[in-house]
Amino acid sequence: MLGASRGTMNERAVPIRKDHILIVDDDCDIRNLVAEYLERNDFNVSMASNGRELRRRITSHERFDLIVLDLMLPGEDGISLCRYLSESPVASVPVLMLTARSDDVDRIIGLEAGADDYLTKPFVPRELAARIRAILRRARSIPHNLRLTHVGRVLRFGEWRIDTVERCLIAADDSVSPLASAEYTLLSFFLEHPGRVITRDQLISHLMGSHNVGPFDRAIDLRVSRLRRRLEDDARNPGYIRTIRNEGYMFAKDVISE
Amino acid sequence: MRSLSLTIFGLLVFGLATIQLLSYGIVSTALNDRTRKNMFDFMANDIALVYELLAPLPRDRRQAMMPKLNRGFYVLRLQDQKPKLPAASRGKIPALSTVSDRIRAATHAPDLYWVWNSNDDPLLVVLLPGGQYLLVEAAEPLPSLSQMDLLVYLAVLFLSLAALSWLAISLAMKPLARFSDAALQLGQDIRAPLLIEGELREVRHVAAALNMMRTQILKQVQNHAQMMAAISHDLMTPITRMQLRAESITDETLRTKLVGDLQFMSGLIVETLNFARSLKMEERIVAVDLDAVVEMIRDQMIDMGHVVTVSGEIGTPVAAAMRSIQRVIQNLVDNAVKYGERADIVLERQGNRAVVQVRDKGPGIPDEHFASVLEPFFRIETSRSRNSGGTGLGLAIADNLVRAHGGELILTNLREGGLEAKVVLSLSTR
Repeated sequence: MLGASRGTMNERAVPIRKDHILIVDDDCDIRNLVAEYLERNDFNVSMASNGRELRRRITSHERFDLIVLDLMLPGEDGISLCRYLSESPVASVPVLMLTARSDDVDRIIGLEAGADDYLTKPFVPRELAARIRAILRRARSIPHNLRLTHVGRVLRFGEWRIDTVERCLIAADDSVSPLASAEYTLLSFFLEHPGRVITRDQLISHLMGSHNVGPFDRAIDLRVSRLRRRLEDDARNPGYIRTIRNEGYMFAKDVISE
Repeated sequence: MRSLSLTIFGLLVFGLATIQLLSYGIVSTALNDRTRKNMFDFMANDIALVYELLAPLPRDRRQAMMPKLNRGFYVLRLQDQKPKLPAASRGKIPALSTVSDRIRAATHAPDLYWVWNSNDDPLLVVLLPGGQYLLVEAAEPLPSLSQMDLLVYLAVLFLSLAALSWLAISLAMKPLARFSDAALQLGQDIRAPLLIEGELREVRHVAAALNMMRTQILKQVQNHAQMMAAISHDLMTPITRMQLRAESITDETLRTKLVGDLQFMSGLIVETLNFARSLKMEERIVAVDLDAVVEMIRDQMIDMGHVVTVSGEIGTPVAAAMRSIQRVIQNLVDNAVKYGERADIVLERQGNRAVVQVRDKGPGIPDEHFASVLEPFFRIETSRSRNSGGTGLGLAIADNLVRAHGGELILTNLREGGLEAKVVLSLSTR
């Protein structure tokens, strides 16, 4: 009882700065509907209908925490804008790309151009909010120049390589295998923190959002053991992911950009 | 069904045999007539000369001449008694009368006739003045070309000609055989162009025609796919709007139902797009660790509460398109857990082939539906599948993608119950 009431008091006492999201989409209805939905979910939302507006807002030093960018725009397209954003002074602003085509080609071009994640239309609104939160969490915990997608497309660690655009593992014999979304998120988090102890809580908050703590301990351990198996890492004498007793895990290999 | 090679071979052999026999007949007849005429003329003149020499001589001097007259062409003998031998009928050997007629014409010999000697060879008897007889017979029995030799000669000639024609035909037919193989492959995989190079002009023409037909079919398929893709794509924006609008509906029952319907629709659209794309797979072929792909799918399915097991391994990378082959196995596993409660995946390397078998414990496929289950939008209409919300595209997409890999998707009802979907891929680099 006491803890709960103190929590409420804390929330009241510290005014929460809402994350500022810029939605760039040429479809007026979708723009407004997404804005409404995100506002209902505690985001502060601005809108732009094309590349020119986006550039104007960026150059006028408006601050955004994340940009939701539609790939198909009249005039300058999303890919070109994505490149512009990753080279501009606001390079640290993460980008969630929206594509109408679930083509792998679009997805790959978008990720290569520097988008942090992608979502295909039609999407479930809840999924949009979840993706935005996940990207924001990552953006907070990792400086943008260390973020995996900004370091390089292919990273080497030990015997293995990872392709951050195709989201697959590359073995020593060049054979590839896809990474499931959860596997990719977990592995990329390890790769972004080599040589550092990562607590279970950190992993849980990174993978599932901060509000879910407790019963996910075992789920995290299961995912780590699966990842070890994918990397053919011996659980008793691990060379990639070490268990740090009573603390969590540590990624024990150097990560080199290729 | 008649074979072109055999027909041509038959015609050639028949023609060759006829020509051979006819030409042999003509040549030998002409040659024989000529030789015989020369021989008979010579013989007649020679014997006439011998007669002229012997006739005026007294009987006792004639014998002394004989050694000089015997020059080896035939044997000449003198005899006082009339030889007691059977007369040779003139009709039997017409040539004999020719000889005797010529001698008569050359000499006026009063009397000469043919008899058969003890060897059944003809012997000419000429009556000399003074009652002496001149006997003329062949030095040795006439050599005759034996019937047997002739047959052997003809048979050898015929057989070697037949062998030669067969060789020629198979040489000429080889491009055609290769062509028919290539055309057969076209039937199996319309995407692979018919490659005929440096072959017969006729074959090249047919190949070009087939390739043209193939391009037309491909274009039609692609038009079809493009149309489906365009419609699906245009539906995406309104569905996105509807999904966003549904979020503001306060009536929770209504919202849940609406969101459910919209999710089914968007799922159908995504699957239709996937199907359209599976018709012209453009993904890059790389070496894929299929064992890891299957392991990943199993882990994901287990997380979603399904029963999925994996046994065996392929143990070597397979040349494949990573996302496409992942989709193939995912679709088969989805089907297995949806209609067959569980998926038991068996990985196996069979010689030069990688085999992935996905088995379930469901009712299998009724025999009458086996031909149609791989068709797009086909669903076995049982109450269960109608409620399960399948699009009827999963197997069609899997089949298209496996075929784009040059592989095979084989469905079998297991004897112990359940369905087995088997993907067979070649391990050799294409």
